[in-house]
Amino acid sequence: MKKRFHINRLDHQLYISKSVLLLVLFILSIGLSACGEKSDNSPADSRLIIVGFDGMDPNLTQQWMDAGVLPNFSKLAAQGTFHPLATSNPPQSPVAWSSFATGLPPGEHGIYDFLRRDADTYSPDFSISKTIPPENILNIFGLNIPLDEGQIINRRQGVPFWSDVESEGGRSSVIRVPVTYPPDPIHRMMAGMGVPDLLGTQGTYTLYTTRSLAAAGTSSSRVVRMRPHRSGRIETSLEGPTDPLHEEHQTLSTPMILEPTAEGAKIQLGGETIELAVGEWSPWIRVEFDVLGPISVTGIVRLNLVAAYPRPQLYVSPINIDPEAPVVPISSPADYAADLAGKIGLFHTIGMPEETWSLNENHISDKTWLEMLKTNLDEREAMFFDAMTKNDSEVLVGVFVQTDRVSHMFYRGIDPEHPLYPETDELARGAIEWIYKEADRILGKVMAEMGPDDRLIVLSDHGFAPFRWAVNLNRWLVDNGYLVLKAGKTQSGIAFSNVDWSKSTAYALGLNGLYINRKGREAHGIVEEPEANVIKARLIKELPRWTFTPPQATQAVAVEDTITTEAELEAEVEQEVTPAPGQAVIRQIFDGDVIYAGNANGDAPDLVVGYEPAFRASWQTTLGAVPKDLIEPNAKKWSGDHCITPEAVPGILFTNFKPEQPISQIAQVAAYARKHWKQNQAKTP
Amino acid sequence: MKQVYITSFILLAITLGYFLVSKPVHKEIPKEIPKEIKNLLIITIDTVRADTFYASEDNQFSDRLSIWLKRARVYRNAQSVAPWTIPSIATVLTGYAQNQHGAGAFPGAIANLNTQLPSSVLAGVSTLAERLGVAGFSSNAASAHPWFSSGFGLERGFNTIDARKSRKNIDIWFEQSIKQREQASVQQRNFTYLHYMEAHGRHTRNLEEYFSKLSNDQKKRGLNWAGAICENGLEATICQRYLVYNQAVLELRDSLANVLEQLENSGLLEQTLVLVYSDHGEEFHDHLEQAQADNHDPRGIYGFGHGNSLYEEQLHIPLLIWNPNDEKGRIVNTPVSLLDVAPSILDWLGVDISADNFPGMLLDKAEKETDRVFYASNIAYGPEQISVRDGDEKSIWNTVSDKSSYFNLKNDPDEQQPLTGDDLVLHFDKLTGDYLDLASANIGEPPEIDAEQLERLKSIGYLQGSEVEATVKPKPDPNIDLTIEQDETKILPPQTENQ
Repeated sequence: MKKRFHINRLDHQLYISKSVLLLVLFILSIGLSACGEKSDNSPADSRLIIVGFDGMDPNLTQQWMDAGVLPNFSKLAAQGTFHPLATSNPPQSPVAWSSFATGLPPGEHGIYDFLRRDADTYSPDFSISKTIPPENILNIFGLNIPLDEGQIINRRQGVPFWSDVESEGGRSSVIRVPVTYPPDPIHRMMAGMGVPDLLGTQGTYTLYTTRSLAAAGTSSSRVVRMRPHRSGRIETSLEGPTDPLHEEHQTLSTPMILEPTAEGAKIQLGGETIELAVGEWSPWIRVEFDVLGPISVTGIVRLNLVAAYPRPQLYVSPINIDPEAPVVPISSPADYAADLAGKIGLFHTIGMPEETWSLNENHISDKTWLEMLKTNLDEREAMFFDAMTKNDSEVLVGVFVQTDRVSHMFYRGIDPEHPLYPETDELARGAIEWIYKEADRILGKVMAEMGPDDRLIVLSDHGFAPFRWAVNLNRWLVDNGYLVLKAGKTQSGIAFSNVDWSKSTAYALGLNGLYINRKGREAHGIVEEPEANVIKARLIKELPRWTFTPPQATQAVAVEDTITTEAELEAEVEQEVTPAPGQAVIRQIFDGDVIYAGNANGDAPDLVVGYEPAFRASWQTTLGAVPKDLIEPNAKKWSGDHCITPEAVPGILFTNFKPEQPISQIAQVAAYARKHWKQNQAKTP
Repeated sequence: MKQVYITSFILLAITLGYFLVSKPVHKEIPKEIPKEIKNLLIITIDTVRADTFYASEDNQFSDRLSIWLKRARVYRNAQSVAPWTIPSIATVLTGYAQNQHGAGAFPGAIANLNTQLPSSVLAGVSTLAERLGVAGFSSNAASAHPWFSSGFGLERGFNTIDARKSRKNIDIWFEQSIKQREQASVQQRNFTYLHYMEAHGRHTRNLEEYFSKLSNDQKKRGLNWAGAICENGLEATICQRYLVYNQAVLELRDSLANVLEQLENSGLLEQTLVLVYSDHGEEFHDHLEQAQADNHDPRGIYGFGHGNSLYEEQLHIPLLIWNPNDEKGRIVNTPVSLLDVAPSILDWLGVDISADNFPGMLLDKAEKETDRVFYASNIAYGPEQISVRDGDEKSIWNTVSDKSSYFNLKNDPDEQQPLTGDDLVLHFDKLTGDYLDLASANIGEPPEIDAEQLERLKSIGYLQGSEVEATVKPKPDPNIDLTIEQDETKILPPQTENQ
C-alpha cells in the first residue's frame, strides 16, 4: 500500500505548521556530517542484486507472462524460480519492506501501518520516521536560535541486511527502498519512502486557480486562489516552510507571476521564466526561501498548466528537497545526492513522489499523472543503473514503486465491477499492463548488465485486489456499541472529534488497525486488562460475521417463455427483488498479541483487520472519523488496494537460481542475503 | 551685503520648503448645526421593482407621492443584495451581507423555498432595533409579511410586532400610533417599521379578482407603462399580471404619501428619518427565453416572480429618504446598495459605528463614490447564483452549471445581449472570488415554525411543497403579539413603553 500520506487533511494548519517548524529547526541545527563514506571502488564479484517492483501481483504477472508481453520475466522464471511471496500482516509497504530489510516480523521491527496512533490524543501520526527538534533554543531579539542538533529517527527497529554485510566488510548500494529515511551510513544509499518535502509533510502539492475554491473542487492539499488582473497577469506566491527563526513563525514565500501566452502561460518563478502549454510539465525549478540574511532554504518544484486562460489552473508539485543542496540528509554519503544530480539531472527526492492524491482529487488528468509517473520511473532507472554499472557493491538493492502507484490509480481500468470502470478510456484500461511492461523492460536491462556470477532476486512486497467498497469501520463500532459519540452527535469528524471516550471501548485508526481504549495506555482509557481480552474476543468473533449486499447485487432474471402461470410469474418477481446473499466484509481479525509478539515501539494495534478483497477501510476510517454510512461505493480513482487479508495479496518472487532454502515469505529474503554474503566471504581467499 | 542676500535666500528657501511639505491649513467653515433626528421610520414596500415604482415620474403622471419625491433623496440606482425577502431585509436590518448575517440560505447548492425552510439571522448578529434599543429607542413594527414574525430573526429587538394583512390596516395602525405618540407625556425616541405586501401577491394568487377590479383608465395606464411585457396585448396573462401589479404599486405610493402627510401634520416629520425601499423586484417574462433554456427553477416557473434570478428586474429597487437635515430633495443616480442603509441610519441617529465593520458605505459618501462593486446572491429557487456589478459591467455566475453571463448595463440595460471576452472572465472571476473569500460557514439554522405560521407562509406562496413539516415552535415571546386579527376592522392599538 503506497498511500500518499496526506496528514495535512487531518488538521492542515496545525500539522503543517508544527511539522514544518520541526523540520526547519532541524535543518538549521543539524550538521550535515557525511555518513560513513567508503572509497573502495574495486569491482565486486558475485553480486547479489535485488530488484523490487512494489505491488507487483502474481496473478497479473502470470497473466501477462502467459500472454507473452513480459518476456524477461518469463525468461527469468525459466532460469530459476517464480512463485508467490507471502507478504506481511498487514500487507502494507512500510511493514513489508521493513520485514524485507531486517528479516524481522512487524512485532520486532515496530512498523505496523502507515499510521500509528498517538495514545495521548487518539490522533494519527506518521509511523515511519520522526523529527526531533533541538532541545535548546535561545530566544533573543525576537529570534529563536537553535543551540544543539535535532534528530531524525527511523522508527524501524532491527538491522537491515545491507548494514550487516557492510559491518562484515562488504559494500552495499541501496536505492530508494521504502523506510530508509534517514539513510543508513553505508557505501551508497538514496533514501526512499519517509523523506519529507520542504514543508515537512509526505507530499503537499499546490493547485493555483482563479476560481472559487468550491468551483475548483474540494481539496486535500493546498488550493490557492489567484487574483488576476484584467490583462491576465497574476501576481501570486509559492508558500514554503514556516520561518523558524522569528517568533511569529510566519510562512516563508517566494513570488510567482503568470501571464497568458498564445499556447498557454508564461510563468516566472525562482528567477526563471518558462512557457507552458496546457498539460505540459515544466522542467525542475529551483525555489529559494529567504530566512534571515544569508540563511535560506532551497527546494525544487515542477509545474503543470492544468487549464488555460482565461481560467488558468497551475499545479505545483510538492517542494522537493534540493538534491544539490539537501537541507536534511537524504543520501549516504551525504554528497551522493548532489553527485547523482550532477550526473542524471535534478530528481524527485520526496519519499513518495508519485502524487496520487492530485489524481484522486481530479486536480490533474490521467495523462498528466502518467507523464509525471514516467518521469519518476526514468529517474529511478537512471539512479539504479548508475549504481549497477559502477559495479562496486556486493549487494545492490533497488525498488521501483511505480508498479504499485499505477495499480492503485488504474485498477478501475481492469476491474469491470469498479464504479468508475465505465468512465475509463483506453489509456486507463491499459495503464497497469503498460507499467508491467516497463518493469519487464527494466528487468531485461538488469539481466543484460549482470555478470555471470551475479545472483538476481526480483520481488514485490504484496499483490493487488480491487477496491470497490469503502468500509467505515468506526461506524460499525458505533452501531455495535464499542465506540460512543457525544450526546446529540450522530457522526464524527477526523481524529474522533465527536467521540465520548468515557464510554468507548474500541476504535479503528489507520488502514488495518483496531485499538482497545485501554485504561493506563490511552489518555482517556476505560478498559481494564481482563476486560480488554473479552472485547478483543468479541470483535474477533463478530466482525467476520458482518455481511454486505451491494445495491446492484439484486438478481434480475429475464422473464422466459416457460413462465406461463401467475404463480410462476410471482415467483419470478420474488426472485428479482430478493437481494443476493450478503458477502463477507472481513475475512479475519488477527490478535495483535499473537501476531506481534514483542510489540516493538509499543505501536502495535490490538487487532488487525483482514478485509475481504473489494473492501478496504475508508479514508475517513484511517483518520478516525465516523461518517453516516457503514459502507460506501468507492468513487475515487484510487481503485485498487492491498490493505486486506494478507493471504489474498501475496507478492512475487523471481530468482535466477534455485535457492538452497525456499524463500516463501518476504522476511526470508534478508536471511538469504546474509547467507549469500557469508558464503561469498568464505569463498574469498 | 552678499551675506545678507545669502541669508535671505536661505530663509526664503526654508519658508518655501515648509509650505511645500506641510499640510495646507483650511479655515473651519462653520456648519449649520444639524437638527436632532429623534425618530426612525422604515417602510418596506415588498416586491417593487424600480422601473414600475418610478414609472409615474418617467411618464409625467402625478399622484399624491409625486410632490413628496421632490423633497426626498431619490436613489434611482439602488441595488438589492438578494432577489427575495429574508436575505435582503436581514441586510437592511443588520447592515451585514448574507455571508455575515447568515439568513436566507439553504443547505446544498440548489435552493428550493418550496420545500425547505431558509436559515435565520445568526444569533450573534445585532439588529437595528436592538442597537437602537440600547440607544433608548422604543421599536414597533406593523408587518404584513409572515417572514417578519416567524422566528427568522428579523423580529429581534422590536418591543411590539403587529401582524397586519393589508395596507389599509397598516395605515390605520400607523395613524393610531401617531396619535398615541402625540398624547404621550414623555417623548421617547422611536423606531417604527412598516411592511406592505400589496405588490407581492395580488398578481400571482389573486389575479382574476384584482384584474376584474381595474378600471379602464388603470388598464390603459398600465399598458402604456408595461412596454414589452404587454407586447402580446391585454389578453396575455403576463400582461394582466403586470397591470394588477402596477396598480398595487400605485396604491403603495398612495400609502406612502398618506404616512408622510400624517407625519408632517403631527409635526413629527421634522424629527423623523424616513426611509422607504423595496427588498427586491419582480420579473414579468423579461428574460423568458433564457429562463426556459436554463430551466433552473425547481417549481418549473420560467422568468416570472422573484427569488429565481439575479437580473436587474429583481435587484434594481426604489430607495427614498426623507432626512430632516436635507433642505431639499435630490435625485441620486450613483448606484448604492441596501448594505448602505443600516450604517447610514445609525450614523444619522447619532449611534457610534466606529467599532463596526460594516461592508456598506454611508449613503452621504456612497452617492459620490463611483468605484464600487455590488454583489447579489441567495437564490431561493434553483442553483445558487452570484451577480457582480462593477461600473456598467455585470456578471451572473451559476455556481452549479459553472456558467457565467456578462452584460454592459449602459449599452444593454435590459440584459438581453450577453458579452464574451477573456478579460471579462478574468475580471469577474477575481471579483466573484473576492466575494466568496468573505464567505464563511456563517449560516443560521432554520427556525422551528408552527402549523399556523406555516399556513401563513403558504398563503403568500411559500413552502408549498408537501415535504415541509411544521415543527412545534417554542413558546413565543410574551412581549410580541404575533396574532393576525381575524376581523380586520378590529385594530389592536400599537403599544409603546409609555403606556
